[in-house]
Amino acid sequence: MASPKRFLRVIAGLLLTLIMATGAAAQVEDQLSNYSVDNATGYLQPLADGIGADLNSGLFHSAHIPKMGMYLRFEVRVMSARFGDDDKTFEATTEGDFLPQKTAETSTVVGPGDATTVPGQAGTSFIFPGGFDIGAFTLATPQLRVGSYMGTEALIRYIALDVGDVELGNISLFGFGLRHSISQYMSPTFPIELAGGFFWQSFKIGENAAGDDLMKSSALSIGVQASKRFASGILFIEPYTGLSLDRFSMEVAYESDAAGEDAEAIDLDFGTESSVRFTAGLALNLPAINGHVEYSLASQSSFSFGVSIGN
Amino acid sequence: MKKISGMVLILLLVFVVMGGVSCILEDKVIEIVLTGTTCATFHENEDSENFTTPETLDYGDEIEDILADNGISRDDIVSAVVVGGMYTVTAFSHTHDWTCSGEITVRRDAGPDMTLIEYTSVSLMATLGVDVTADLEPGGVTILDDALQDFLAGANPVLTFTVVSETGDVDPDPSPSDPLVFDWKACITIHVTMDEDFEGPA
Repeated sequence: MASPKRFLRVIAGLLLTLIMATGAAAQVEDQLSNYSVDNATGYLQPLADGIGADLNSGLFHSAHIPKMGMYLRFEVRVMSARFGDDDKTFEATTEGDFLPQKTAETSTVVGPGDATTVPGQAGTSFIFPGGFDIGAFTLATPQLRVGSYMGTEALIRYIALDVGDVELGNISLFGFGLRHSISQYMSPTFPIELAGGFFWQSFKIGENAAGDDLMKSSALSIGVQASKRFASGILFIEPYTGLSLDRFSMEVAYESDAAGEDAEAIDLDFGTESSVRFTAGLALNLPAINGHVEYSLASQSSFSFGVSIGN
Repeated sequence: MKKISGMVLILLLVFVVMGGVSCILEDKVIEIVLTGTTCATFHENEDSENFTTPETLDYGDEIEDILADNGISRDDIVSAVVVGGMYTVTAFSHTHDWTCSGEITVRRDAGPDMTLIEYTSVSLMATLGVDVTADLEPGGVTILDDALQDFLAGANPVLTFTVVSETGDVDPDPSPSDPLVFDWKACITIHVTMDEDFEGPA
């Protein structure tokens, strides 16, 4: 495996990315302040899709759950959802006092950084803000896996970063889930391991002008997993797969200046999106350490890898 | 065992490459846009339909206030444009309605008055508390735009907005026994852009 120093550098870099993402939340709020509901929804939609894809990734790397016996595994998972060209722009409509009303193709939050200017009547102009030119939304999170009682294990995700700046706000992720071994009810000769379970998460980024959460989202994944171990001495590799039904919802609360002199409080609700996710991955197991890499096919596909340390 | 070692090597490479890729951060420049609104308020107390009501606005100070609210300074701004305008009646307590036509002109320092907004047959009762998007006139917008560009260049432009009402513009005619009394305001919306450095994932 990679050296611990190298691994720590990678994790430190990813955490730094998260902190900077929190800092970017203040800039996102600036850009959003030019938009009311419809434009803001189009502007943020790719980010909502990326967060949903990342949250529902990296929840397992094996279907093997012992019937009994205590184990405790500390894991770090990195999830990344790449954005396509279609995610970079959206059809926006001019707002406020601008005449005549026009539509234009302009940047989403992950699109190019350039603003788009539209000419109006009598020499006026409307400027749509730029995006943050992001190729992928990447999330790194520590998680703890605890088992097993009656073939059941628990998984807890938690990260909370206070960047020490009231304007920038905080970032927090909490998740909890259970998985249960299905294999224990089947014949010992059954060729693969099977498990099923659920995982719920709450993810919050940034703080708006009113002191509330800028973005808050929740995700729920219910699914089944299968894996098979191929052993050789103390090493074994384990291909695994999973099929899940994912649900994701996101709300954004900010103040919009689009309507005129007085700021308008906007509560943006992206509703609840449901999608089916198919995951295929490969785990490498050594005594007390496990590395794994996987790809998930869904409405927003994602890549994930991670390391698990423990007995 | 050789196969397993091969798998270890491949997995290690995947880890290192993905870890490296994830940690590559790029310096980027994003164009931040801020929306600001400046308003001129007018108090009318007229016993004739022929009147002018001037309101002087320190446009530079108004824009400085908008920038200060957003934590930026004049030097941060790359460009500023006029987006549009609106007007609304803020106080009106008559028992009967009035219909007004007329214009709002804008003048920079001792320059000529140019028409910024023309309004026709506006019901004061119907406009009370309602934002009406204004059709702006090119001459007035040019003065505002020039003032914005001069502000960016370091000047502090002062603008005078004037309500002009002439014969036939107010119905019914105001009189000493039934004066036209109301408050209203006209607002101009601007967009300012600034470049902001952003270090983010590739």
